[in-house]
This record gives sequence, C-alpha cells and structure tokens, in this order.
Amino acid sequence: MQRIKLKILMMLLLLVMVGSQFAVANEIAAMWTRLYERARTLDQKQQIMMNIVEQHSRDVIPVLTDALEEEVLTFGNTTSVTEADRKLELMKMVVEELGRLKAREAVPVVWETVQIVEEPILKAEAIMALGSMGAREYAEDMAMMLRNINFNYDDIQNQRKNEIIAYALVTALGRLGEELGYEPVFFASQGWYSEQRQVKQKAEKVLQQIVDDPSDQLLRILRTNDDFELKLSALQAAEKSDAPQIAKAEVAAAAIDEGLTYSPKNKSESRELKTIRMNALEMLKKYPQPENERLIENLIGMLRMYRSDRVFDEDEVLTLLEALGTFTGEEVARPLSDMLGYYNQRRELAPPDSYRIVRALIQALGNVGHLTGIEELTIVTISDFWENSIQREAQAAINKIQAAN
Amino acid sequence: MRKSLIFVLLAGALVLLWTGCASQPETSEKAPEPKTEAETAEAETAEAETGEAEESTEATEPELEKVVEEVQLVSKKTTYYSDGVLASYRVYSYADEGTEKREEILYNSDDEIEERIVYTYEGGNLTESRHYNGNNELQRIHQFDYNEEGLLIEDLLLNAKEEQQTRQEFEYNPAGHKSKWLVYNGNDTLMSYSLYEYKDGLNTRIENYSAGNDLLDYFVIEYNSGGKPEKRVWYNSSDQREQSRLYEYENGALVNETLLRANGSVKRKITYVNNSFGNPVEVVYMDAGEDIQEQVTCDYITRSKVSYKVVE
Repeated sequence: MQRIKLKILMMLLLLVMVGSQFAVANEIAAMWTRLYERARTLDQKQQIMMNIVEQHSRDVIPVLTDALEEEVLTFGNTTSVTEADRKLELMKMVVEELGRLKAREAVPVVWETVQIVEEPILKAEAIMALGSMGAREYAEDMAMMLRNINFNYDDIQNQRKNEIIAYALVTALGRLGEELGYEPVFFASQGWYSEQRQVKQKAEKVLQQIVDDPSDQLLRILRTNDDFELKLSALQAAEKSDAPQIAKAEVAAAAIDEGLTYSPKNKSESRELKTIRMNALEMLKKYPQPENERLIENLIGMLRMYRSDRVFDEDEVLTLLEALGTFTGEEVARPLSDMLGYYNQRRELAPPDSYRIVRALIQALGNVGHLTGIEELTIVTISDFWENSIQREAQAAINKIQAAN
Repeated sequence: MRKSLIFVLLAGALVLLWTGCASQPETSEKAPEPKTEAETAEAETAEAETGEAEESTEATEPELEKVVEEVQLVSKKTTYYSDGVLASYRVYSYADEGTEKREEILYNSDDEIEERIVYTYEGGNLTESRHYNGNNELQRIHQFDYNEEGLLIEDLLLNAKEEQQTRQEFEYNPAGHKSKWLVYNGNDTLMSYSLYEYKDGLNTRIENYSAGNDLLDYFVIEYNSGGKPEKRVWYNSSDQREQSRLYEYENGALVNETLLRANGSVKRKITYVNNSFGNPVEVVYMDAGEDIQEQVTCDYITRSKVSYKVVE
C-alpha cells in the first residue's frame, strides 16, 4: 500500500514537472492560464476555470492538466465538507473539458482521479473522459472494475453509486473498443442494474460497437456459464453482432450442443433450453455450415431422439428439418432417409403423428439433394397409403435430387 | 446632408468567423489577430454583432453605402475521434433572417444533449447567453454590454446563482480596434489586463500585464502582403520565445497551422480543407508525429447580412 502511494506520488511529481513546461499560443488562453496559476482560493480557481473551459481550445490543455494534478495531490488534505464539494465541482469541470478535448496527455492524471475519488459523478466523468482520450492502457483496469461491479457484492447502499460508475465504464469500454472489454460489458447488459439507470440498455448498445467479431468471447460465455438465460443472451448477441456468418454458425453450433447437454429440472428450464435450441437452429438455417462434426451428430441425434421418444415439440422438429435441409451429403441424407423409411412403414398401420413433419422431412431430403434419398421417396410416390399431396411432395423432391445430380 | 444609399450585392465572399470551424486567422482590418482553435461563442457572436467586422451605422456620416453580403454561418460542427468514430456534434440555430445565433446544442454520439446555450439579443446586439447542462440545469450566464458604437465593452460572467464570477472590460482606439482587455474577479478587483498595438490597422503586438502592471508575456504577430497573419510568436517577460504559430494559406484561405515549441520543434499541426467561400469544412488536429488527435467537420448555411459603409 505504501509502495503504491509512493508510486502515485512520484508519478504526479513527474507530471507536475512536465506539466509546468506547458505553453499556450494565444493571449486569451495565456492570460487565463496566468490568472489560474496565481489563484489561491477555490473560489478564485472556480471563477477562472469557468472561463478557461469556455475556450474549448487545445491551448488550455496544459493548464487544465496542471489544475487537476494540483487538486489530486491535495485531495486528501481537504477537511471541510464545503471545501470538498467545491473541489469536486472544480475537478469535474476540468475532467469534463479534458475529455471533450480528447486530451491524450492528461490520461495519467485523469486515471489518478479515478483511483482516488469515491464521489460517483466525478469518478464517472473521469472514466468517460479516459474513454474519449483513447486511454487503452487502462482498458484492462476498467474492465476489471466493471466486472467487480457486475458481481454486485458491494453493500446495498452503494448500488446507486455503482450504477453511475458502471454506466461510465460501459461507455468508456465501448469507446476504447478493446476485446477484453467485451465480456464485462456483456455481463453488464445482463446484470442487476435498474431500468432507471440505463446501464443494461447502454451495455446492449455498446456490445454492437465494441468489437466486430465477438464470437470468441461469446463462445466462452456460452460454454462456461450454467445460467440458461445467459447462454441464450450470448447466442442472441452473436446473432446481432457484425461477426462473419461462419462465426455466428459456430456459436449456434455450440448453443445446440449446450441445449442438448443439460437435462431440464423443471418446465421452465425445459422451455429455456428449447428456446436456445430453436434460436440456434434458426441461425443455422441462414448461415453457412461450419466444419463441425459435433454439430451434425447433435442434429441427427435430435432426429433420432424424436423418432424414439418424441422428446421434442413439433415446431422444434420442423425447424430442425429445415436446418438439416441446408446441409449436403450422405451423412445427412442417410438419417433423413431412414426417418422417412420409418414413416413409410408406420403409414401402412396408421396415419403419421404429424403430416407437417413428414412434409418437412421430404422437403429436407429434396434440399439436401443426395441420391441416398431417392429410394424412400420413391416408396412414398408408389405407396397405396400416402395421401396424394404427400406423394406430390415426394415427387418434387425426387425431381430436385435428380436435377442436382 | 445628402444621404444616398447604394445597394451593392456581394455574391459569395465574406465569412463570419464563428466557433471552431471558422477559426482561421481573421483578415478583417478591425480584428486582425488570429483566432486559435476555438473561441467562445459569446465573444465571437458579440464581435460579429458589434461591428468588429466593419459595421458602422452612424447617422452623421455624409454618405452611406448599403452592403448586402452573402455570409456563411456554421450550422453544425461534428467532432470525430482519431479513428473516425463520431464523438459529438454541435448544432447551431439562427433567427429566421439575418445572422443572429439563437441557440447551440451539443449532442453526444448517442444523440443525448450535453450542453445547451441560449442567446438573447437587444437592438441587434447579443446581450445574454445562458448555458445549461445535459439535465437542463443552468450552469452560467454571460451578460454583454456595448458602447454607443455598438462595440462590446463588457462581458459579465455569472454562476447559476447569478453571482459574479468574472467581469471583462474592452476598450477601443479611435479607429474602433480593441486596445485594452481587462479582467476582474468576482469581487470586481482587477486581476490582469492586456494591451493591443496596431500598425496599418493590423494587430501586431499584444501584451499581458498583471494588476500590478508587471509585464507577464507578450505576443508578436507578423502578416503577409495580403494582410493575413503568418506568424505569431509568444514571448515571456524576459523576451524569451515560449512558443510560436505559423500559418499557411492557399487562395487566401488558411490551410495549415503549425504550433512550434520554444526550441522550434513541432508540437502540433492543424490542417484545413476549405469550401468555395474559403470556410473550413474539415479540420484535422495532429500531434508532432502527424498522428490524428481529432477531426472536425463543419456544415454551413448561407445568409444575407446587411451593413452600411461610408462612401469614400
């Protein structure tokens, strides 16, 4: 602790030495700077600072930086509440302007402000200023701060304060665009924050901007969290992102795997897992198939589970068949053909449990376009049991396969 | 006394200097000192409205010429981060006719208001500006006063409780050029003053003094043959160079501004891309290594500005 304090002191002393060599090149900035240097009371400083920040000029960055350094160095010496409030007000004015000026040279002292100040508004202003200044060197520290706030381990009376700081961290991390900021921002979008403070909404928006391809981070979130809602949110975030289609398909494949790995303990969990799978299947329908053997195993496995135990609802099976129809090759055509064979046999005894599923199965075989499907499709067309509409569907699928070969 | 008004329409041409985008060095004889990167909107508006840009309406002049100028007013100033991502934008609104700026609003990249300034005029002069934060809470007020010639003589800064923070006074020479700038604190005690010297109507030297008349520093401004500032050097009270600024022009419009340290090394560069009026539409701020720090773009509206000048 002592060493950290010493380090901070050394850094600030260095900054003061560097900062004192500042220069300005217009008489207005020069005059206000001189006046600020000579100001002794907080009142005087505030009066002059009000004029300085109105310059909106890079010429005043040195005096703003010096002013902040001075307040940071003497921050702990303040005893009266009124003086502390005035000091905070002054520092807030300075930090805000440094942020607007994107004053890269002021990054170290603004970071010191973040570290020593507990007052949430100033702390938040300083964090957002760091974002505007492009202070990537502190992105990791800020990501860690947000991660800790996301956990919500702090006292309940600090929640409002933490929400203000979290909003600023989300904003700054969004601006910095560092990959390491993605996960804490994602968890902020799913976090404990109140509607009123807009942290979650801001985080959701920032997620779209922070990195172009967040698929690696989302895959990690999807795989390493047991919370089904989080898994679904990660999947949805991937869908909304600017990641390449193949990367989105990889996330969807992982979501299918997760959706099948867990056994639901109740109806609610069953619904959540189904939603994950349905969302993932919808994505797989749209995007090119990834080279993922596990994915095909899972999809065929779903088909078999439905055939043996009817474990999935009709809408899920229909979506599954549509997704399978986007694949090519025998490895998919064979199990689809087997499934149709199963329906052909059963049709001789009774109508199928779902004509919609049979129709979707035939269409999927046609879409896959592999010759393996011809035999069972032909049986449908010559069957005495299948309805005309089903037979017409099968003939269309045959035509499609023949055209593709 | 015969008074004849001759209507002259100047197509294109003059520029009203307005906030950061229109921050090129002034070329008007009445206000020759270069404006740096940005100046407060109030002061600029006040200057524009008070005739620092050559406006005289004195009835005693024998012959006046009515001049209608097409001027460009900044309607939007957009700032971008070094990577080209939108940072914020400031929208300026004006009276339906003329050049009176009525309001400016600063938005962040999420289109949320961060700052709003409302301007009030009397008799064509800007008399007050009220500054609000993003929560629409009053932050400060400027109150402006003018002399009989319509020149700004006082700028009073009040806080939200309407308590004086600072007061600035401006004095002028007989030619109407600013000759002295005085700054007072909240107790109305003089804190400092500046003296402005002119040669052939051009501001060539500015000296900053403490209230006790000690010279603090001074600026020397050199002009090119076209009357545009090309060098501005800042010296300390020991006559040592502190910093300097160099200006380069193309077709009369500023295109490059270079800030040099005392040892002559480059500290910062600013490049300007100008429109056909000579107003900057893009300003790029770079560090010594020419890495972009910030980019600013400006949109303009064109308005007619009526003034009168004495026929020689």
